[in-house]
Amino acid sequence: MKENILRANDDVAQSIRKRLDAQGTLMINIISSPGAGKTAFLERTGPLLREEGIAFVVLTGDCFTSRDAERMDALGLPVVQINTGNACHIDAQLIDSAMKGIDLAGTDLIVVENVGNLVCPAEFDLGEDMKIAFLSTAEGHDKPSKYPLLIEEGKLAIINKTDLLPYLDFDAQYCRESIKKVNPGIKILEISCRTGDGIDGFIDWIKDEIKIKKEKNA
Amino acid sequence: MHEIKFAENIVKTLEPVVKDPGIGNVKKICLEVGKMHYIVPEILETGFKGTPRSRKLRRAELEIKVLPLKVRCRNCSTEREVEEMDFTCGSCGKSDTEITSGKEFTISKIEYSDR
Repeated sequence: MKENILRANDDVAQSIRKRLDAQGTLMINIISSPGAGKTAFLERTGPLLREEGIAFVVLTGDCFTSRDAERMDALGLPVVQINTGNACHIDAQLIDSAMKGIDLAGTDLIVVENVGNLVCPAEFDLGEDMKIAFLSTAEGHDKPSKYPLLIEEGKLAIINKTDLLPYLDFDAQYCRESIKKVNPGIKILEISCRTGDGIDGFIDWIKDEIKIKKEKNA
Repeated sequence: MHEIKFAENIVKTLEPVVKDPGIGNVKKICLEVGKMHYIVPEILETGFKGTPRSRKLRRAELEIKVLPLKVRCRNCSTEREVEEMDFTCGSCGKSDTEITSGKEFTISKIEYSDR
């Protein structure tokens, strides 16, 4: 026999992908270590996406609290909280349940804010269109080489907290090169959620991706 | 940590398979796991021992084979094992390579007694 170990998960992921494709809804899966700034990123980009007329929902995963969801709720951003309990990642079944109340026909974009962890979330297909590797300068420039699966599977790598560069020994060139050594096709964006630097680059990129998805499934 | 989830998935995948009346008690479950995956075999074994399962799977043991990470160059076809995380072709220097081994994540075989 030759059977995928994660078949039970992947079957659910495929069913999610089919539903998303049928409606032309784009799903991105943002994966980072804890504290890299995923929630700050959504607080920054959420209002801008709304200004652009993009209908989106955030599915946010947290082991215990609902703090991330509360932060987005405070900005009036549409959010569904996923409590993963003792699991260190979100799996397809959790996404399937969280999607139950979402009208896909009226949704351009679903953003999955995965549990902060560079290891486990990279292993699980959620039915997303793409994984985004979300790194930050404070973590050090060696993370791409240490967690290659996420980099290899990612379509976009974001390096956050560029405003801290003057205070850190972060070698940005080394970081970029080590990302490209594993995945030469990946796009890299350098941003600061604190100052807003580079955020427009992400907005332009996601608008294109939403358009591509809609056209592909029109 | 995610090994527990993998163990549950292995059981979930095999339960329908072992319903076959021709399959007796499963002795061994052989897994092939590529090096790109973050698996600690010992933790997976522990997780598997703690996962509830039906009678036919109860005495099964895991045999985990870790496969090396290899890339092949799309330009010059050179295949090599990757040690440091650099997938660039060592022969012609092009970065257009594909992974030929290292992302496997399969149940390759089960050994069981006949009924």
